Amino acid sequence: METIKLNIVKPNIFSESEVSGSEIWSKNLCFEKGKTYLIYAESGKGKSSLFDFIYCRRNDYSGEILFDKKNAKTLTVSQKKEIRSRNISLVFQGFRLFSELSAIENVEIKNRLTNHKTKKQITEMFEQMSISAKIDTPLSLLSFGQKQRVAIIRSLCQPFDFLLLDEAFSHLDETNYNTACTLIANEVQNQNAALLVASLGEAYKFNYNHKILL
Amino acid sequence: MLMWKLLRKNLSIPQLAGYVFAGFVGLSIILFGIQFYADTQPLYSSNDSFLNPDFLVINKKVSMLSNISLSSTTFDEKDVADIKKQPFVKKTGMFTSSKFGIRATISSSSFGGFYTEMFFESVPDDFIDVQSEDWIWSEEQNYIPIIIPRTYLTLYNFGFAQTQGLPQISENIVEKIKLSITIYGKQKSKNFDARIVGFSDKLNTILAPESFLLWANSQFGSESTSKPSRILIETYNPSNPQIAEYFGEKNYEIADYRGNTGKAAYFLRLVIITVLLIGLIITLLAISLMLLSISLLIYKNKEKLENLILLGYSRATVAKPYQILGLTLTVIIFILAFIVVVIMRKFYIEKISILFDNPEIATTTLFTFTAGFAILFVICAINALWIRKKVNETAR
Repeated sequence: METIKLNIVKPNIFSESEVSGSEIWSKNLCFEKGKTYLIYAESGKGKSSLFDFIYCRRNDYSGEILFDKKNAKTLTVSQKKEIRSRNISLVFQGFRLFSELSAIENVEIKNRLTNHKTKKQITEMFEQMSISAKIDTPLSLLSFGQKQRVAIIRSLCQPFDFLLLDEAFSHLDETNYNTACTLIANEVQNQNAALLVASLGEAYKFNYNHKILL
Repeated sequence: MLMWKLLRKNLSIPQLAGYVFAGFVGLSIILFGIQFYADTQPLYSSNDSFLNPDFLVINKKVSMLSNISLSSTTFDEKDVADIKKQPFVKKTGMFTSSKFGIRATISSSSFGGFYTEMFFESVPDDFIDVQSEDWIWSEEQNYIPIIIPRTYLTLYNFGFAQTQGLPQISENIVEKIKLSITIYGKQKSKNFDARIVGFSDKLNTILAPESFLLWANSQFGSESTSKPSRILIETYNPSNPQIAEYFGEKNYEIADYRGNTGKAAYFLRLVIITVLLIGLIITLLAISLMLLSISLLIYKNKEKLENLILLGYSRATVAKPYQILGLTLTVIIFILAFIVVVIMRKFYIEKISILFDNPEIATTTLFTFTAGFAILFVICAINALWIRKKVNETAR
């Protein structure tokens, strides 16, 4: 997947006047593979909605989202499954981790879909994120910040053309989010992927090609 | 394994145990009913082996008057002519009786020896439906095929043999026993071999081929001719109400050929059907319990299913652990039920196999196994489709 095009996309719940200042809603826009984008807005402007639309989780918008030339709304169940396991990776704002499983199992359940990383690589990522001590701990016993790091590691355990981060660093201290940024940037570069970072305003430590106001 | 670890959460052991128990009870009853029906099959199919069902046997009612000879129980020529005129009568046949002495001897190493005085009757050959090579006799032939009432065997098996500690015997065995027949009269006698080739519910008499009886009557019989007391009638349709009307008017009786065996078989069949229905209802309840239980489980795990699908899992993959769960439980139920049926069958099969040894049906559980497998397949299919549907509904 080379591009994601947004053609006059607008969430159904927003009126035209509500999206008047936006550089994304009701505009034409194209995200290209290999580039880095910052999408900033105050809360309530629809950052998570945008990612839900791109991730094909929701359909409640007007306009169209095109993956290369394919309309997101017309994808079949199995095409969505393919896109989610091979083309687009998303760090959910709410993480969507499994509290029944341990930290490492939460990552493995994603990785086994494509076997993108080896067990050793996964363990190394845990070490870099300095949560290797918690690797076998049930997720329910981890702190919010630790869960966030597990979610980030999980998002890197698949091939992708676009990586979407939805306020992925909100609960990390500076040291941790620096290492997280490095880890992410390396993986994005290795895969020659695009990075879409949604943020309340903070730019984090990426080199952006575009900064877009939502 | 990771999927199972994730999805088994909220699994209700009591609910699933309830399914296994109820399903086990229901399926056991169904399979047992089927097995019992298969094992007692000969009971339902033992219609008159040789007499066409369109035939009726009629006689005059025996009354107080007939005892003191004021009214005859035999049909005279006028009666016969009148019957022949009736529109529902296709054909009539007269009984021929033996008018000579007959002595039958059975010698067998296992039974010891019997001998008895007896009699023969015959009806025209075209009323007899035994394989024609079994039912022929000619003067050169020293062997006589005979047909006896089925009640004789029942009397022996359930009356005589049981009280005397003699073995019970089946129809197949009886048909293999050789009888020695001696006929005598007019100061001479002759020996024959005989074999029972069929059983009748309809005719309470011992039948021999008509050709034999005509010949023997002429050689050994006394000259006097007797009038028939019974007449065979072939009808166009035995359920025609005119028939009963006519015979009622004439005070004739139609022999109740279905007899008690028929009624018992009918009743037994009714009981088995009732049992099967009860089993079916219990099984259906068990299946609904399982479907409900799994629906609840899926509903409780809704968020997890959704998350798995968002990670890139297919619905089929997500549904599979539940489908395997349902399949495993159902297979367990089937195995348990089948074991129970095999054990329970041991208690009655010995008695049954004595009465009608039909090795093809009565000694196999294959039929039940096949039926059970079909039921198993249907339950598993319902289960798998239902789960898939629920997963699709839950995780869009």
